[in-house]
Amino acid sequence: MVQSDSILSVRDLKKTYTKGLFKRERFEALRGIDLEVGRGSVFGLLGPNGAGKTTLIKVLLGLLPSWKGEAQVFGMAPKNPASRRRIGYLPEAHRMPEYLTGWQVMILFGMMTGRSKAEIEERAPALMQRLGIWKDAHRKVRGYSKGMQQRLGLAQSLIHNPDLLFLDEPTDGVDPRGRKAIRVLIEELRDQGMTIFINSHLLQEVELICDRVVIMHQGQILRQGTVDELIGDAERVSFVLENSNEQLNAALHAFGQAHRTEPKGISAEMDDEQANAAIDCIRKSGARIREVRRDRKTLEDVFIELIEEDRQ
Amino acid sequence: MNRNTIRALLADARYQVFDNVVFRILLVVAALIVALSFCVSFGEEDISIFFGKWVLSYEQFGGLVRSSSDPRGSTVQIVQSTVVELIAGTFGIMLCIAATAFFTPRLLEKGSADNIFSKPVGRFTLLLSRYFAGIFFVAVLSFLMVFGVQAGLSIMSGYNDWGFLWSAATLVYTYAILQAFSVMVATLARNSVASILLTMILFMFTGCANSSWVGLEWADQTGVTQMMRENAQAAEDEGESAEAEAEANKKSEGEAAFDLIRSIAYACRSVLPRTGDADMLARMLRRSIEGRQPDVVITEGDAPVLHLVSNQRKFEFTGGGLEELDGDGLVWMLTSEGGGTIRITRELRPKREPSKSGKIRDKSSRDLIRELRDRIIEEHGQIAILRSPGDHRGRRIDWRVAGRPPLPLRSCVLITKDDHLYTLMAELPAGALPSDWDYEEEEDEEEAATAPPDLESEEEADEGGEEYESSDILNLDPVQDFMLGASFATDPSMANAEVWYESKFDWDAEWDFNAFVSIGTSLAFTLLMLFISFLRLRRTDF
Repeated sequence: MVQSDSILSVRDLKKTYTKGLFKRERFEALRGIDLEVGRGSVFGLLGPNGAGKTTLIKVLLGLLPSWKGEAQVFGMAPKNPASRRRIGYLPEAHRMPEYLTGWQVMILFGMMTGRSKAEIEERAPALMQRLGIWKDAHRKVRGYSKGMQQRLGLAQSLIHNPDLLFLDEPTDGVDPRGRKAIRVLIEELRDQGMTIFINSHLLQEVELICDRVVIMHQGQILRQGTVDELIGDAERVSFVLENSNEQLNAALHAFGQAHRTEPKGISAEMDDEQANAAIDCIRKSGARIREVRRDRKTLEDVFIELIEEDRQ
Repeated sequence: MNRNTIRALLADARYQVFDNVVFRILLVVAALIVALSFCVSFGEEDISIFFGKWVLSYEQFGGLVRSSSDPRGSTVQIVQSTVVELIAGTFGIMLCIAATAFFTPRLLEKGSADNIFSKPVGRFTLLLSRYFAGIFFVAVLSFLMVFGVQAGLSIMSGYNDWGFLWSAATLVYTYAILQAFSVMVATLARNSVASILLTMILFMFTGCANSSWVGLEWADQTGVTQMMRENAQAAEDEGESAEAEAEANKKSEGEAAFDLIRSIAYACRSVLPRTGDADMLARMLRRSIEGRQPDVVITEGDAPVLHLVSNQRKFEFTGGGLEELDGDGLVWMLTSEGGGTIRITRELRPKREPSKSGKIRDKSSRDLIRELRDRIIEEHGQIAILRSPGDHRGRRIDWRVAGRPPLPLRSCVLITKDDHLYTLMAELPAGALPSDWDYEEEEDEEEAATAPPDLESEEEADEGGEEYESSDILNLDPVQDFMLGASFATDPSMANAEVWYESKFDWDAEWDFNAFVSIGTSLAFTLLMLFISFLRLRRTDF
């Protein structure tokens, strides 16, 4: 049974899309997902295209009516519209009604969550100012640039001060300044106790913002935990070499792990002792060391490694 | 769903409608029509355009103006019908379908749907909000146009016809049915073009199915096909030769094809919404408010009062029952110049000889008027016939009685309704010939033989022995109206299929002509469409 004290919990969630006249074409988008999310954290949802990230969010928002397993949001089934009262959502590639102005979007979408007009009117200006769209508030949405629409989408998802926020590619189409503003805003919201789900391909951003990360692939969760838990302590040492050859590359595979052949050398996870031994080996082979670089592993590294492993 | 959500959805519908370009164009068109109604003044005698810049008399419109006693009312009604039934009811509705059909598909498009359906509002509620947005679109235009035109007529012409306001409601009613279908297509196809095209096709197809059924039913019930059947039967009876048999078979096949087409039309009409009935409903609701202003009211003590409405399809008795017409019937003395009488009698409808198949059918008014014509010719001679059965579709006959001129006139109208035959017999004094009591030219040779003589020609003077002076002609317009109105009334086969259908269409009519059934089946269709939409939407992945 799903625990009811968490904001969001999912057990063995499965979703299969069907296509064709007789629904013969089937695609398993989620293959038994288990997830428990408490209050006040920023969750990064990572995965390659088709991993099932958006599907998972859509199930939780009631946008996909048929699925198997258990899912609860605020203790309610996602089908129940009331479960969405405390949720904000910024969809990927969303489209705001073009016949509305930015201000009308804020008011109407806010009121659709059940809040009063006065309450929304009080909150909207600050949010729009914060996201840099206040001066265009009374322009029709059809005249907004992509970045402005994205910021408006984010603003409307926050208008009712939700407890849970799903952001699907929140910085898509936003310039670097806007991206930073969004990042700062997310951090502030987290500090205020809001639970935020971020689905993004910009792993550096996720690494910067998220407390916890879930990595998905082919409808399954490959790994989840805090960013530090995922990255671990291991560091990557990169050697930029001259006169390298295949023999040397093969010899270097004896030191460390997760070797990666690079255009001008090789890199691998190794400790100090292994790095020194590797340097000795290179020198003995007659190759010249142009550069030795020690990098901390990034989330991107972890992500790519996990996906590659899963593919193999 | 709380009050704020409902307010938001209503506001969303309003913004969507007012932002629509087609809506704005139609709003301008409606405003122009309203403005025109303020530029034309329909007076008692003539029509003044642009505050007297041009003045037209009703006579200039000739046959378009149907009632000689109320040309203004008649003309205004033609204008109203054109505005509501043709401009708004056909072209307007089609434009509105095109302009609003994308409301629902756009809601369901990827990107928009995620935004809207992730709000704490039920899916069906959101769908209904789009459905009502379309209705709001049409309602604004309809009410603006109809109320505006009514205001124009009321202020400029002093013509108050409050029943006309019902037209706005029936326009919305028609659109609401079509919009439900449009929404259903949109939820299934999630495509604006499909929604527009299929809804247009439905609109045209329902109109065609309804008109076809009405036309075929009218032909069947008013004797057109009956004649066809009888001819086939006669050919069969007489058909000893192979040719006659082949002819009979051909006709029999024709009849079978007719029945098949009629059955298909009936099936379509039964299944599909009756959008075509909206005009009938508007007219009926209109009558319920304005009532009918009788042109002729004849009273005699406590006896029934006969109301005759010229140019309309009914005459009705109040105060007494129709059984008072049995036997000698009721006779009214005309108090107009020259006097005269009108007698109305009722009797059981005579039957025909049994057909070969053993069926006994009632005689039609056409049969009966032919029999009467034969009797008149036998008694007074061919030349006595002023209006032959070929005229006026065979239900009315006028003749002069034999004797010395000036010869009295007789006019007889036979009306068959249900099991009864009603006879209206006007006995008019000599010289009673209304100025506009026109005679239609006969078209075929047989009818030409019985063509009425031109009373003002030399030939007529020779035959009749005396030429009528125009001063001798009495104004018997009311009598003419009476006879024409009556003949139109309960024997609608005198008119066309639409008039026939309108005469039958009523709140308490039989199933196929019942207004409640029409509304009920159309609403059932609407609800079914919305229910299918709901089922589809419930299972839709966004």
